[in-house]
Amino acid sequence: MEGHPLALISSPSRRRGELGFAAVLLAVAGLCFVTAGDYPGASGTYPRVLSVLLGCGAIVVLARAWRQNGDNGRVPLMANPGRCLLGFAAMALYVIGIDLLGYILPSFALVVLLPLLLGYRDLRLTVLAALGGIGFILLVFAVILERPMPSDLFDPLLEMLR
Amino acid sequence: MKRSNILFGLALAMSFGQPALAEFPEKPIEMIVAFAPGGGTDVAARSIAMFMEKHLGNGASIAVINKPGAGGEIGWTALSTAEPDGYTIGMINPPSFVALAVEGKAKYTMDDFQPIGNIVLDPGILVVGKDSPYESLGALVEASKAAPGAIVVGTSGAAGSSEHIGILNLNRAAGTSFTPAFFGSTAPVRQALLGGHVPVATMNLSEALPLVRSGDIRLLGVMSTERSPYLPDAPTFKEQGYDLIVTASRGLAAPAGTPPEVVEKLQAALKAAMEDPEYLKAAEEAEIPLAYLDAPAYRTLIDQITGELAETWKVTPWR
Amino acid sequence: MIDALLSALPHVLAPANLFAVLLGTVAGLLVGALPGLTVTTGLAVLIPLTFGMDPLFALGMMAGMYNGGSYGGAIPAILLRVPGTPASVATLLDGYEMTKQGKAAYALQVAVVSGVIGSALSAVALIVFAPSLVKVSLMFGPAEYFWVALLGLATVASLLGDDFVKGLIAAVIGLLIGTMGTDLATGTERYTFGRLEFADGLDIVVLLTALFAVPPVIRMIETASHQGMSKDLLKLRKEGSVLRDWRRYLPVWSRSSVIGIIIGILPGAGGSMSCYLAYNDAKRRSPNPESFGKGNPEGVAASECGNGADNAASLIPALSLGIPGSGVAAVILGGLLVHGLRPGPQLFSDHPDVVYGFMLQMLLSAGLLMLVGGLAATRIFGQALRLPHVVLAPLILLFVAIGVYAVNNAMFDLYLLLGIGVFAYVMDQLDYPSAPIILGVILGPIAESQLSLALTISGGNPLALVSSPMSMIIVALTLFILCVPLWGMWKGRRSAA
Repeated sequence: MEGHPLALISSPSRRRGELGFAAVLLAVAGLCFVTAGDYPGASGTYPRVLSVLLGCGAIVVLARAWRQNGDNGRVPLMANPGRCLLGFAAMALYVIGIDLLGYILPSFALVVLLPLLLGYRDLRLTVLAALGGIGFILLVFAVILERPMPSDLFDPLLEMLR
Repeated sequence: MKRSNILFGLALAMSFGQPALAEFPEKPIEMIVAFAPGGGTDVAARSIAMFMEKHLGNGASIAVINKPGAGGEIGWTALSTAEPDGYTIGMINPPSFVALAVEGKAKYTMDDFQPIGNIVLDPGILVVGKDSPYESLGALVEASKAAPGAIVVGTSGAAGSSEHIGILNLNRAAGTSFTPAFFGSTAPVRQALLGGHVPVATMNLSEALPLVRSGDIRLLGVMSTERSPYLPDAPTFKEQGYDLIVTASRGLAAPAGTPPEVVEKLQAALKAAMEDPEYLKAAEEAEIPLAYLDAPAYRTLIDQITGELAETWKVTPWR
Repeated sequence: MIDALLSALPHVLAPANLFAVLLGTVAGLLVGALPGLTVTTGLAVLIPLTFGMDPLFALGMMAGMYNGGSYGGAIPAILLRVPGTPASVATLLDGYEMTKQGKAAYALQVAVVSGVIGSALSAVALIVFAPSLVKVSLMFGPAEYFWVALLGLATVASLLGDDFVKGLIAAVIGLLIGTMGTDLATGTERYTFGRLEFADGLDIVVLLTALFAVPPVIRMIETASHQGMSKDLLKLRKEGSVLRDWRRYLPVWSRSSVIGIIIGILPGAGGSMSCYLAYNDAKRRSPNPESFGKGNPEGVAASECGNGADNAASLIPALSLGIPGSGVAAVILGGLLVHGLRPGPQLFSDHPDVVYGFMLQMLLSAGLLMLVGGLAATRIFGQALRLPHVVLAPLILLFVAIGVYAVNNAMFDLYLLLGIGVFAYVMDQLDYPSAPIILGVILGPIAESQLSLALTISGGNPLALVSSPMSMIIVALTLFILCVPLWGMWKGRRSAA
């Protein structure tokens, strides 16, 4: 995969990751503490205590990461940030796809296209895996258990199956 | 759903545009259940759906769709905004179904629904443990008046449930001051009563039948107008001088605006299903308090509950 | 009782009823193994279909589904790190590590054998002790439940991982997530951001899959390996037989079974808690606790055995009092009612054939599970591992997506999965453990609501929390669990000095 455009994105260091995540936790703790102020009586006290605990924990991690300036400064957070981004982007597109087009088509596209993007060329296997997986899910969820599926392009077809 | 309608509106518009209805149903009907699979309402829905399919004829199929969450509000909101073509119906559970609208929390009102018919009417009851010092409702009420707030009543619901509202109404009607303790569901409150962890509890009649019969708990009063055929010896609140009626209903409703002839058909199918010997036998075995009401009568019942809850909300808001 | 058992036996062994148990076990395996589907869902679909059937046919399917489903959850947890239920989280901790070390087949074997032993002992307990064990469950009121929840939370000590602070942060995050939704006692909606979807809090299945399934999927995409697991690694015989190693597992099995049975008869405590407690116990007693969480098969054995032992035991209060010990038991109760079997002390005298028949079926299905479970898991589910990782990753997403959607039939949950998934990935990369989050989400709300109930009932007197002997016993146990590791650390430091 050398020379692949995705490989050019560089990962933030682990130390930065620690600092960033702890900062986010601290912010969440603050937000939870303030929001809990509106809740009456014990309904509010309990989450407030938890927020303080979370805040304390976050501060400890922050302080620790701040002091450790050695090796962690160079260790990357992700092994391959480009593909990691690709993974999350694929997941996001998949979910949006289900929302717009239903379950079947985006699922097929995901199983066939994602391996292709990752350099896997055995289309026979991926198409087979996609059809097998989708067929199995439809059989169990839609036909046997009659669980509702997301509204789908192929709804008329699905109704015939039931 | 909405977006795919826009994208593929053409195909769908064709099916909406048809006047049809003559041979309703011509596609699967969805029955929304506002609770998770396996719960009492869900099992009731799946059972009645199976028999309604049989009596609707025309190869009808009814699919139960669970939309659980927020104490039923998610499912009922979905029902209120569904296409009023008779292909989406749902189980409703007054009074909690009504309470959400009365307190103004829910986005729907009672005008958004067209009742189809009632299936179950389960009265509330007040029970004590078998070794309880309270021999009658009167004694319990006197004890509560003597020590305001000291007597705790376990309820299977959360704050704002029909049981909670029942306790508030009792406090208002009898001048007592019972403190509700919220257990969230029936199993723990029954266990707490049996183990002597709470002195008094409210629940629905059908949930307590075996324990009352075996003598493990004592029933002080049924919150309905008449005695239950399943426990003819148990006195009602009214007989003992307290005007308190709390009844949990389970019924079917469609979104408002559903064509009358479709409602008619569904109502007829519901009636036929509830008269089906096989269904009756199963219901009797399980001691489900069936009470069929047709659409107008169910509407009247819902209106009545709405009026009472609105009154309670004004005096003692439950939230 | 012996008479009743003997007279029930021919009915249980009738071919049709045997088939029903088998069918139920297979169906249970399937719904248990698929995320988003649960035994409760399966049973809910099943019950109306059993209206006209012979009670033992219907009950046989239910018994099979219960036991099959509780093991089914272990399969994707071990193979793919996709926990189907909260109960499989403790299994996953060591099970997935074993898969990574190429011991998937052995891990599955440990899981199925341990689960079967737990289920079988539990079924025996149900048959022998049903009426007398009920009295124990009645001793638990809100105060006692509060302490049980704290006892469960104390086991977090064994889940913290290497970094104490990060483990605690994770537990607190779980507790905070647990406060989301409507507060039972006051009706206040907390952290719902005005969304109805949050009114019942964050759904546990959505949280589970996002926390545990998303990070490994993303990592598979990152490594983009074109290879799958080699065929040899999935061979059953490779690591030898679990049954032959019985000496090693016997202590774990016996203690986990007892834990599972005790937690099972407590209504509302639930299967996941017995797994955590059993796991904690096994780790605490082990000569090398540091190997737990790194692929120690005893961890899998403890968790699955505790899980299995929970099953039949949760039916004890259900059958004798009508108080279900778990969600599944509640649904089975509904199924019994449909067949005119009213739970209560009189059930055993009114319908001995059916009741004891059902108990035998619970035992039988545990046995069948050994046959079907081992085969199905390695032959069918195990094959998925042979797919190249680049193909397996999107396939897992397929199952996760439909499972998460099926929980509430809501697209909202899929977007939630996406959001929490990003968060979970970063957490995982930074070595924050995920299991304490789940523990907090499950037990936090129990602790809070039971505490508030106990205080309401006692009129606000905190002394009521420790007034019963049962409370004091559980408090002592909790302190014991918390203090033993500390004492060990102190001793270790002294001997080092």
